Amino acid sequence: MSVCIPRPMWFRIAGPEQDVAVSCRCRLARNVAGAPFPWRASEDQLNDVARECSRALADTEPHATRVKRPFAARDALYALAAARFVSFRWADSPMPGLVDVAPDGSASVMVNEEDHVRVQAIRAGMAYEDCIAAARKWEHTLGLRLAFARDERLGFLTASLGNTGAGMRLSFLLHLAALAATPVLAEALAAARSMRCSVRGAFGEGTPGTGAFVQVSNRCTFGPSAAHAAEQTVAAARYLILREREARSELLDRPGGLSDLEAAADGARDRLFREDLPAAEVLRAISVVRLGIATGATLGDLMRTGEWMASAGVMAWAELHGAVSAFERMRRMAAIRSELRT
Amino acid sequence: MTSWPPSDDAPDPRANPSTPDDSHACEALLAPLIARALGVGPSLAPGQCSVCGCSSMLSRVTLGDTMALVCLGCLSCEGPQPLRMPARFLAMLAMPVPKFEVREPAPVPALSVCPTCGVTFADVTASGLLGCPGCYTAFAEAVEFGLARLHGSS
Repeated sequence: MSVCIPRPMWFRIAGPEQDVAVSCRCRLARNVAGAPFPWRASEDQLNDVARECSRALADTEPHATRVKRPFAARDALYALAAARFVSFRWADSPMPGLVDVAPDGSASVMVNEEDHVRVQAIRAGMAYEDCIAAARKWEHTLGLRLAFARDERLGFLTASLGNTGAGMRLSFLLHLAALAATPVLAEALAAARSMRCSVRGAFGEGTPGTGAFVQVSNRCTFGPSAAHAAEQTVAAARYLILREREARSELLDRPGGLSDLEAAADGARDRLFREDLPAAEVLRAISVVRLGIATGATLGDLMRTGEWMASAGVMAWAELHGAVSAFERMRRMAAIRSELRT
Repeated sequence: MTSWPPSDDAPDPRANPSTPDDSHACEALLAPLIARALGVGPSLAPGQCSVCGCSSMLSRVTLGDTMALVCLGCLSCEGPQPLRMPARFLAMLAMPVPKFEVREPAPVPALSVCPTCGVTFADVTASGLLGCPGCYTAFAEAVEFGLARLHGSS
């Protein structure tokens, strides 16, 4: 039976500073008290956790769309991953689990990822306050129905020490296309890292980075400095946005800057239409088209570029796991082309 | 305790002044970065901050028709709105990172086992993941060390 996955809110509703910030995400990690963490749990234990969470989730949002693992069709997993309702790690796992997606596509809850419960909300641009509020609302409601593993001194207990405490990861996906064309990028990213932020490729560790799409997130989740670390992440993202805008101005102010970018964006769009490209190339082409749209060098809908990016991300993920077939690549390319036409 | 979500009323970066040695080192490193990021001139200006009177980390800022010298701390709190966030970011950069004394824990035998889930310490170090909430107690000393290393404090 095919499942209709809600259209994610970050595909539909524009956010602030979207010329550079593609999206922001708040993720909260929690575990059910008394159960081993997913990687140590037996299939029966994972089923027990999934059942318990399933009841709590049904009480929290009865109209959510639910997909269960490992019975989900590959198509449903692709659609969930492309919308970023699930992580690639969740989609890859053959163990029992489920995901609930809010009917308006505003949030999702993964069960049995690295931790038992991972609540996440994504918004376009820099609407991080809305992200945090949405994720916290789900977590709070679930917390009334589930006993989360918690220590009075340490905070929430998670499988990885990197998440212990608040269990919150706030991340920003930034499009630094103009900075990437200059040697200043390394210096700007080093400044962000020195603010105790993680700086990674567009789709996290292990996925192909293009240099143009960068994810900035808080490293610290533990102790009183957790809130400060999240603030620093916001400040680091804002700083990178400012530097990117400066670099874009410099790029366009050069003699022939605008016409060069216009030609590059049109060329990239043409490549996307004419060739079946590997994921990293698709990302590079999308980056140029997006820069063209954001600076007014070419026409297009900036909102849709996030969606193309997400499609390319799924291609990258499938390629990484050797799961991509020629047919699947053609299908994803066709999806991107159809997006480009609209 | 820092408030959340962050607002423009976030803590004053001047509340955590850097030591003289640190601030001079930071100034030299950050001067071109600050100047470029804030668009306040090719280099930092000598003189006194027109707000607090200090002579450290000064930038030239145009406020309406007048040019003023403002230090980075004041700029991030009282400067023009568009400059506050980046200025605050750079002010935080200029602060010395707190140094925590991380005491090496007594080595945990690789075969020591969590009595709750049965995971060995060797499994934990190999996977980078704890097995269950009980592991936090079973490997308490190593957990404290790991938290301090990863998050900078405990």
